Amino acid sequence: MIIWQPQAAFGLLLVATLLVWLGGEKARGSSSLILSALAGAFVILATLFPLVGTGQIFRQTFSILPPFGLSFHADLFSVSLALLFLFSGFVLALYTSAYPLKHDERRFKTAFLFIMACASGVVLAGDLLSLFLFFEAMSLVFFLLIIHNRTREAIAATYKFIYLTIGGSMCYFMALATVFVQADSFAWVQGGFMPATSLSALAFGGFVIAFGMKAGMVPLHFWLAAAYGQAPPPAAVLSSVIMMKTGAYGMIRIFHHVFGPEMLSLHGWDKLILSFALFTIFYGSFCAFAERDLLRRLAYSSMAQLSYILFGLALLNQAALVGAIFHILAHGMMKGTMLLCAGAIVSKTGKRKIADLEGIGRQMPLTMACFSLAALTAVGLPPMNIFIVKWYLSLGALSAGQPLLILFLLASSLLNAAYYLPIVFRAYFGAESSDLHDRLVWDRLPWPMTVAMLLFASACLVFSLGSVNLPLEWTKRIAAGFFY
Amino acid sequence: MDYLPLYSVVIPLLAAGIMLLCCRSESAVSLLALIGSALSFAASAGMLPALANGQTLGTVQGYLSFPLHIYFRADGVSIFFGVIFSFCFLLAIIYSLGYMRQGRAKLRYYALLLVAQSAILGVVMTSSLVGLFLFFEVLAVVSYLLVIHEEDTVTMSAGAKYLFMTIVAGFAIFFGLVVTYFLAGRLDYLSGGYVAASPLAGAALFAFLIGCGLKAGMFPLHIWLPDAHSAAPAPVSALLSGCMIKTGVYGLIRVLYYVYTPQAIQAVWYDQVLLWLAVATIFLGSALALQQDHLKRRLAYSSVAQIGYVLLGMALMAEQALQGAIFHVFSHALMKGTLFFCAGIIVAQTGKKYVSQLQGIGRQLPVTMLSFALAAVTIVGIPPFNAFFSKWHLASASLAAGKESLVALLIVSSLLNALYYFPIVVNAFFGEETEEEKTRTGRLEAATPRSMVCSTAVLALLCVLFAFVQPHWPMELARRIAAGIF
Repeated sequence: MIIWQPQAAFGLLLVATLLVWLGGEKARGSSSLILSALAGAFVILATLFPLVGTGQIFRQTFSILPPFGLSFHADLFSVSLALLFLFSGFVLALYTSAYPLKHDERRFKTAFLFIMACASGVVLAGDLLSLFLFFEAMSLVFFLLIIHNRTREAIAATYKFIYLTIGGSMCYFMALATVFVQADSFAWVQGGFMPATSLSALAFGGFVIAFGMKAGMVPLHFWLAAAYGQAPPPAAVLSSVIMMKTGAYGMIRIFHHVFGPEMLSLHGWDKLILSFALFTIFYGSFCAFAERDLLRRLAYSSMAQLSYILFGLALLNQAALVGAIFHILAHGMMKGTMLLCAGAIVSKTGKRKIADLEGIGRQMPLTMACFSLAALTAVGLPPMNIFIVKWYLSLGALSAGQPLLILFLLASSLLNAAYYLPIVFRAYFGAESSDLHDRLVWDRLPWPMTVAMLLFASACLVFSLGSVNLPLEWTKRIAAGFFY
Repeated sequence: MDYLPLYSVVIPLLAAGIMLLCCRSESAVSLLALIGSALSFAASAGMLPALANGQTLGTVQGYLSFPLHIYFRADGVSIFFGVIFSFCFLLAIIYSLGYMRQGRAKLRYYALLLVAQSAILGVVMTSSLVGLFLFFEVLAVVSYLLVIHEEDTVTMSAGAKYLFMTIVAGFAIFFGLVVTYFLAGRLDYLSGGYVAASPLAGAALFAFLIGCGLKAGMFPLHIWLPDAHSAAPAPVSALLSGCMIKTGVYGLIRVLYYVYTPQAIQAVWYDQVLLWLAVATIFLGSALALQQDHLKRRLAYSSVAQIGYVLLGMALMAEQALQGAIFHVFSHALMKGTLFFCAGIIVAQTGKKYVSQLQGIGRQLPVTMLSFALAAVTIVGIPPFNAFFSKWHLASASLAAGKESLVALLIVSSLLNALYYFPIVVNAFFGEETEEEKTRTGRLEAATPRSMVCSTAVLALLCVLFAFVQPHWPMELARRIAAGIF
């Protein structure tokens, strides 16, 4: 059966990107154009959902990129992720439409929409080569957002990012060549298609470097804090909620659809990734604990949280994979809320240092309420999303016969509590904020920013409140598809 | 009838929501708090006939999914604890009407009290460890916010200690939960338990011991307790001591008797460990209480010791001992509630926080100090006051188990109780007042809000009242619950 939705959605986003650019600097309707393009793409892909929901897989190759062609692939995993990305992108675009970017709005918004198109392309790509194309386009264009403020520090952060990205591309390219020589094919195959040879380690290493860099895995993480510290907050959200997740997505694909779990556990590569993930979780958490700048703290925390996904993936069993995939949603909503709130605080008060945030809950109660909910989510309190993630990751660790790994997860949650909860409670309570007690004012943010924060924050909680958790059910089916 | 467990949890939550959204005047806030709390108490008291008949109330409707459903279903243990908890909350809210008269942030205070009541009833009214865990965590956050109500530096640091320790307790319980679910595929309660002995089961049991023990204030995890109790407003201290630390006990009862089989427990010498920890908790609590001059800290350490009794009763793994333990939860809630209420009145009316300042206070605050005396006599365990019955059952269960030394422990501990409570009472009535107070005209008590004195007096009377009613029905209910478990 021929499907048109992936390429239509991608094409729509690309055309909209072009229109936003052509619209010029002063264009009034660029925000509504972006919003309607994202919503349109969402609706187009949503029509695919009933089809892939039955477990069908669609593939299609266009002969526009000789010699291999550009291929699209739609299964439940890629479509759900694309929908998640488009939803997050929509919320983010809503936020950005009211965020004071101060200059070069056209460039920022064009790059933003282009990255959204490429990110949906990454998850809908049908093979390693098409994925490479979208992945690189997305990564390279992101530098336009980091450098937005044009300060010396921003430029330094951009260099860090560009060099790492180029390095990652080189490794990816090398791995791609190895795969082609070994297997003569690029397309996803359930259980993997790479034959076990001496060169497969080279290929695996190349992919891990490319995707690990995007997912902020130690030791390829150092672009992250610098970029988050310098880029405008909407760009940081874009990175945390969408771009870093494409790294995790690529990792899941190469684990299950390129190399296959048997081969990985044969060579012990799963253990390698597991140790990298654990190290990143702790390194990121400790750095976040020591960091004094709010956005940089969130950057380090993103890096630690992304490694939950790698952790669940590396355990190579179904329960852990449920946790890993659900974390893509859970972390996106949680960190998205926090970064949006941080952006609101920066734009409204100019405060970035955590020490300056005492009493901020009296000035921006709604913002800090969203932040608090996200912080409690991050600690893993029930019934919020990350509790579900920790639950499945722990069950996965038990299935893998490694109950001690649960203690690592819990220690990491404790660190989360240690670096988030003081921000929350000092924002509302304490002697330092008592002079503000009598003048409680509302946030006075533009409504799109408030709505965006509320949407992300409610998504941290709302799925657990019904008697059926729909995203979790989908996640279970996706994970079951990897282990049939 | 089957919806009563759900109602008892939801009503206070709804009241808190309405309060936050609509109430702007102080009298409306306190009225709504009173109504919400009283309705919730009525709902839980309405379940008492079911407890007497040995019924289980509840529906099969599952709520939430994170990822397991929770069900609101109440059996005997739930109802027994639920009635005690909601009664203490109701009295604490009545007491607060007076106590908070000059207080700050009343809307927040009453809303949080209602949410805490909802959460604590949720802990007991849900029918699996998942629901227990959910409401444990809600209760942890809410009680932290109640503890730091005054927001000064001392309070904030005591609160931070409390918060982080309860979060650690939550993580320990989470570990136990996941392992239990992995081993058994279920988390509901079944009399006699269903998890068989295995190394992982042993690890989970000790995780539960850390989690619930920390919440209960068991040695050596009690270190948050004195700070939090002395920092919190008096009604909150009374609730912390009377109710919130009992949730840890409740969790352990569920884990020991309803989830894990006796074989699994004995395979890791769990009962022995619990017994020694209980002994250490009793001694250490009493010994430290003796050294405190700060009245609320003395009461807090005394709570540690009293929780030791409850743990002791559970560790003996016998019907009579458990009966004593469950009954002690009831008697301790009443007497420690009374004592903290008295301490609150003393601080509110005179500003005196230290035991050494209380000379002659009984002449200023006669009803308060008489209540204090009643509760003190109860806690020492003199018949026919409540705690006598719990100690009686604990002692005879120890003898039946062949552990005569435990009886000696109980006697020594009672003696210590007498040592640190009776001097306060004696001093209060017969000590020499300062010159300034001699010249005061009129009693301080006349100036004390009526709601504070009345709720204190009611609690104090309940410490002894049941002895004159035949049959002694809290004891009868405790006996039925214990008989249902064994």
